Amino acid sequence: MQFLKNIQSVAKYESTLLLRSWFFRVFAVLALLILGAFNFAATQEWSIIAVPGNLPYTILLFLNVGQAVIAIFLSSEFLKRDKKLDTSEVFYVRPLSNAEYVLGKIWGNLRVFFVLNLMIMALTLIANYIASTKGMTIDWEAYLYYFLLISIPTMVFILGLAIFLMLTISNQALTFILLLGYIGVTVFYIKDTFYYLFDYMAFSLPMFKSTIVGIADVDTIINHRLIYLFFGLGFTFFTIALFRRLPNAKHSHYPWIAVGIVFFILGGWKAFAHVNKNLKNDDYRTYCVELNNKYVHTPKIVIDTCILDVKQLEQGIEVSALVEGKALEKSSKYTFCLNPGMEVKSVTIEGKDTPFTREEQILIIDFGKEYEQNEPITLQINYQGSIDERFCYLDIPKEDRMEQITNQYGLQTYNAGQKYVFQQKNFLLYTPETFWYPRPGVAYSNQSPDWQQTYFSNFRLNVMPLDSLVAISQGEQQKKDNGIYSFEPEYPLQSLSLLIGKYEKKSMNIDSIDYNVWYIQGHDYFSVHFDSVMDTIAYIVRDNKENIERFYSLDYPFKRFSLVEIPGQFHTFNRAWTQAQEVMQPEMVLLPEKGFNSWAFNIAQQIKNRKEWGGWGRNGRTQVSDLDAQMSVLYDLIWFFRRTESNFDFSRGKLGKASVETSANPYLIYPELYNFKYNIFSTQWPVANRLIEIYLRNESEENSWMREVNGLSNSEKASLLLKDDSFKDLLANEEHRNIAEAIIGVKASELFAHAEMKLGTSVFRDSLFSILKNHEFENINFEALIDTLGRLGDTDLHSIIAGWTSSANLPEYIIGTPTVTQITSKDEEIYQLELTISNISDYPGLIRLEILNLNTSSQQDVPEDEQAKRIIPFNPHETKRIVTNYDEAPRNININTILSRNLPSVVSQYVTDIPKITKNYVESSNISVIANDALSVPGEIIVDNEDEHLFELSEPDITGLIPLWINQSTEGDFKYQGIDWRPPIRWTATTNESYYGTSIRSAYVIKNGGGQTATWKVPVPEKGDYEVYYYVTLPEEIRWGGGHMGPGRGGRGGNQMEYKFQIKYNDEAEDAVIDLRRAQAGWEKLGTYHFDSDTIKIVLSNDTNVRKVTADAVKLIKQ
Amino acid sequence: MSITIKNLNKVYPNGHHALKDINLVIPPGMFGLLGPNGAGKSTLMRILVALMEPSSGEIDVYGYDLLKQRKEVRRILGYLPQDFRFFAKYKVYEFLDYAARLSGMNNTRQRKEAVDKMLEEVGLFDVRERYASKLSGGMKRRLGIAQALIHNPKVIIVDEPTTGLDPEERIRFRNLLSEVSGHEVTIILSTHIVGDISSTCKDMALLNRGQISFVGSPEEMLKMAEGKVWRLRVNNDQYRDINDKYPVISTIPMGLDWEIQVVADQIEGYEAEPFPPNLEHAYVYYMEHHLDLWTND
Repeated sequence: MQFLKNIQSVAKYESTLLLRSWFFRVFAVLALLILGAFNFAATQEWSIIAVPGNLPYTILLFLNVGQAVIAIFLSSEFLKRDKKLDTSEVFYVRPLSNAEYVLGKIWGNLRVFFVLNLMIMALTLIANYIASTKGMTIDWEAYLYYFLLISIPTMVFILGLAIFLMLTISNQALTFILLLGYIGVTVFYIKDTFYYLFDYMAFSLPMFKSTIVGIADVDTIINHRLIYLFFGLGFTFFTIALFRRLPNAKHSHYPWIAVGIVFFILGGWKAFAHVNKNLKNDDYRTYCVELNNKYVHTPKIVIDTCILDVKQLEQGIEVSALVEGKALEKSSKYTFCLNPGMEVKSVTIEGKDTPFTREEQILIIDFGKEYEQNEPITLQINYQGSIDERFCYLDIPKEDRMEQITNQYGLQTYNAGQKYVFQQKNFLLYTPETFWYPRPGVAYSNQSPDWQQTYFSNFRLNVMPLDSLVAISQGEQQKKDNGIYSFEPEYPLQSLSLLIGKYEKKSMNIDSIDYNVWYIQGHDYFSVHFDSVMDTIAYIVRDNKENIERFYSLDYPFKRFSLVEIPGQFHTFNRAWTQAQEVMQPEMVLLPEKGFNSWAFNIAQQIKNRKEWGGWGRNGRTQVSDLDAQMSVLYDLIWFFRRTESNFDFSRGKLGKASVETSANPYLIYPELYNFKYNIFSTQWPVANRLIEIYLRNESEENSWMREVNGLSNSEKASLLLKDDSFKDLLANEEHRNIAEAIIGVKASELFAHAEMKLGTSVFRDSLFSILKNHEFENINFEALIDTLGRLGDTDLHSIIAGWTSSANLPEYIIGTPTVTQITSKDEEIYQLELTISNISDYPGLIRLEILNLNTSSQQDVPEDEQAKRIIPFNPHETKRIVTNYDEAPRNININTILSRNLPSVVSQYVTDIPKITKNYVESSNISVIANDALSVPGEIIVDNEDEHLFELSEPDITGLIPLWINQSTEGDFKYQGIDWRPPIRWTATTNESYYGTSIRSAYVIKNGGGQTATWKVPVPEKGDYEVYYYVTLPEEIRWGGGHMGPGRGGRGGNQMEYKFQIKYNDEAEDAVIDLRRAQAGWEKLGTYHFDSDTIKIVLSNDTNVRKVTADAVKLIKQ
Repeated sequence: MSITIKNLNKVYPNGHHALKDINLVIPPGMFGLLGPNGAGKSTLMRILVALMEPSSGEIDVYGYDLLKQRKEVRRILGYLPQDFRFFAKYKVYEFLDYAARLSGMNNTRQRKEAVDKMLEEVGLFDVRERYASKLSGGMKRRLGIAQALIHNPKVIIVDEPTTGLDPEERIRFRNLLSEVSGHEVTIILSTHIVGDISSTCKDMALLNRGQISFVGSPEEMLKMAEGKVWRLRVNNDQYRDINDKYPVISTIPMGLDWEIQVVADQIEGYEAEPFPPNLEHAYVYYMEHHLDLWTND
């Protein structure tokens, strides 16, 4: 008792001291002010309103970082005080023990911090309470959990460590550096490596608390936090042993060393358990893949009908599966795959127990007799268990599975983590990825695409959930008297998913399709906000459905469409072979709780915003009606399922270079129209289905601003990669996973361009659609489909596919400037486009020519398709002149080189200048082969930045390690870089259609200032007078405002924008300038000169007030 | 009930032999430990209060072995360190309360009464709410003795308590100690100021260069100096000569001459009259004649 009393006494006065320290007071006041204000900012965010646990989670994370740093500074006081102040000796001579003293001091500090935590949590509670007007609830548990999981272990650990170090090192400055360094390294460098092992502040550890299932993987988290709690206590006990005061009894410090060691062992054991568990998970996954590889070619059956009787257990399910199918090949043993967590109790055929073997997921059933190919097979498999989550996403590498899932917009602090399955008493979610029911064959194999064969089967499902829960799956839900939910999907499906929870639904039947919203009890925050729009919903849904179907030329096949709410931790991955992620299931989309990760679901706020801001128009402010506001919000919500990209990810990487990435929107509705209806399979090309899918989706190139920032578009990167590696190898290479879609896209575009050429793009696509339509819910053999398409297009597509195993020979073009002329002849008025393109490579190729703005009726002799889209083939070293006549001005011309060395690979030309002429004879549309020199003008000498021998750049004069770093940083990059709003400090190659170039339209760009130069050495064939031109790309400053203003005019009067040149010839140098305010984009004249020497030099300096200097090309024309 | 020190040695890690074979019995009552600066007084005090471990030797405090039973000894111990000036940010009464708590006074009400009483006794009750660091030097020292006494210790050890105090405070402090010494306790007062001892202690020891050179009562020590103190009148040149030969302990200017007091067995060549010694004279005499401290080389 005296022990505790003494600790309490020391703690009381230690707390007093801490509370009287200005350092702490300032911190506490700042923390209260900042986090207090932050609370109110945070409660504006939907991700926090929707999942209230995120509020204490976020706030405590922030506080924790602050207090972890402050604690270090305070711990130094701890010893400093004892060292310098003699008066503390009067306490040392008291009969209390060292343990009581040290523990009292640490506890005294800790409890002050804990009180601060409680005060901040009280503020948080107030903010939380106030936000209840926005529909936010209070998650009391979360406050307790996060306090216990975040604050306590962190503080015990950091105080223990800090005091221990302070005592052993006895140097305040050194200890600070060590500890702050430690914090810095863990927060900024180590981060989540070793499975968050070093994340002592729990800053990255996923601890999201769902409103449906609570914190996932509590065991792992507790284990992780105990590591630090134990180490913290260990350090504390060592401190007792090392404390510099004579202990009350001789040798009394030995027990504390022992206790310290015990806690270190405990902490070490927890750390080992943590890492080992994860390492073992990885080993286990590797083992599962090996098993799949081993059995991937074993015989299997195709399942026609699968009837599943499922009983939900406290953890997991008990299932009796009746499987009817046909043997795919002759055998007596067939292979199935079932999640390794599911224990097979028995397999019976015609009521008789049948032997089977099980190796993790592999289930091989020995039928005891040989089946012929296509012979029907019926069997029953009884199994029970829970899903082993490690088995999910065997193909996804660790980095991706470890990726932190933070909210893209807003605070970005908490980590939602990644869960692929839920199975607890009150909630269950099994997607096909879990292999929760037996499927023929094996799961992911990295050796053979054979594993991927999916077939359409007829499913029937009966589910007996635990008390009062509701089961959801594909097919119409029918609840029987005995509490069993049964489902009988109207269509064959490739896979089946199962959800069980406290679900309720809102439902509406529109055009004989049931539209359902399944939400967890108490989560209907939305319907009240759509009161005015109820009568119009049917119209909006119909309008959108038609729109989507028209856009993709595909029909929605199912009888119902459900949005189903699931826990926020659920995570899915993008895969090369399919657009459909696991949140997309046939006839349903799984949405994270309340749509917390998208602002679009903050319906109340969205409607409010519409009403507040929407009324501002040209005629001042008008009232936005409830109906208009609600409709607008509803359209936004629907857009959530229509947009192809979910996020723009900006980052600054090497050398501070910006890049922007997009990730596929997992909620894009497209798979419902395509992937769940069609299945194109190939034994050789696992991406066959994806190939067709991407081709049919026919997405336009990514945004041009993204290309500008990133340097190359994904398609261009794909082309450059395909130049060196085969399609097959690239698909297998995980490094290129993020641009797999682009790689498949360019290959699809190239493949079918051959077929389009003959039929015309639209006709060909229509043919493909109609073939698909005839095979809905059936498996389509890719090779057979290619056969058919080849025949239709009168081309041998197989030979092209055969080339996919080797790297591609890419053609290279010079694309002339298209001209459009308005010609009036005697009886008509037409617009004539004239364009010359030259293939300068040794390989044949195709060009896709598109007029984007055309929506006209056709010329009588040209098919409609050719007006807008056409494929033009080029032989090696062939130049073609293309003449096409249009009724309307073809202003927006897109020349797509499909798969070529050209950069940019797509040239978009907007035609503004259309001269009018009158002619008696109008040349009809035609394509003619002309001489290869058609694009060069005699007498012109052009030197481009691509001319290695004639073009030179200065290197910035940087000494020290920087050049080494720059060289290392740029290693392995593509040659052409992106240019963002911060121009580079050294000459950087970049491509853009507005630059001069033959097949590669490139230039070097640099920030102004610093005396850097670019030099063109131009060979002069003979003495004489020459006009010298420079190829100008107008900088943004001029393009956006500020343009064509003479000096002295406008806001930045007198601010000249000039490129400064030196023309070096005949042993002298002459200055020349181009005034960019007056210049036009393209060739701009520098002057006329008389050249005697055989080589002249043109030098461009970056000493100018134009922010970005571009070195492109120069041209000489002999007079 | 006494403190017995046997063969006590302390050698610092740097080799300095601070205490050499100390043998001492300290009876109850006020005990003075006299010695010049650097004699080892503080080392001995710190060993006695278990802040420091001796290199060898035995110490028995009221029947407890100090080296083994620190907790028991600490329980009956009150200590006022030499340098009692720098405080953590505690108020006067908090400082006492903290000290009382740590000495096992668990009852809140009793402790509060004790603290208030003690504050009254040392005359700090009016400044009880003031931060200890804001007290004057004398007040600080009084607070120091208050914290040493708060738990009614049997042994009170005060290290150089009067250094830096003005005469009034010094007297006040001595009286305070005298009062306490009436309560069946042992007070060990270490000092280099002879006056502290002469006015309060009935027993004393003289410590010099780590060794005990005298143990006894102040009167005994005084006796030893009888007939050894001389008063004489000298001019400047003579003064210089005498100062070279003998320890001069008092110098009073008398016009062009000086009246000086000298400690010596005999004064040769000058006319000197004997003078009755006080303890300070005895101390100087002792240092001069028994330890050859003031050799003028």
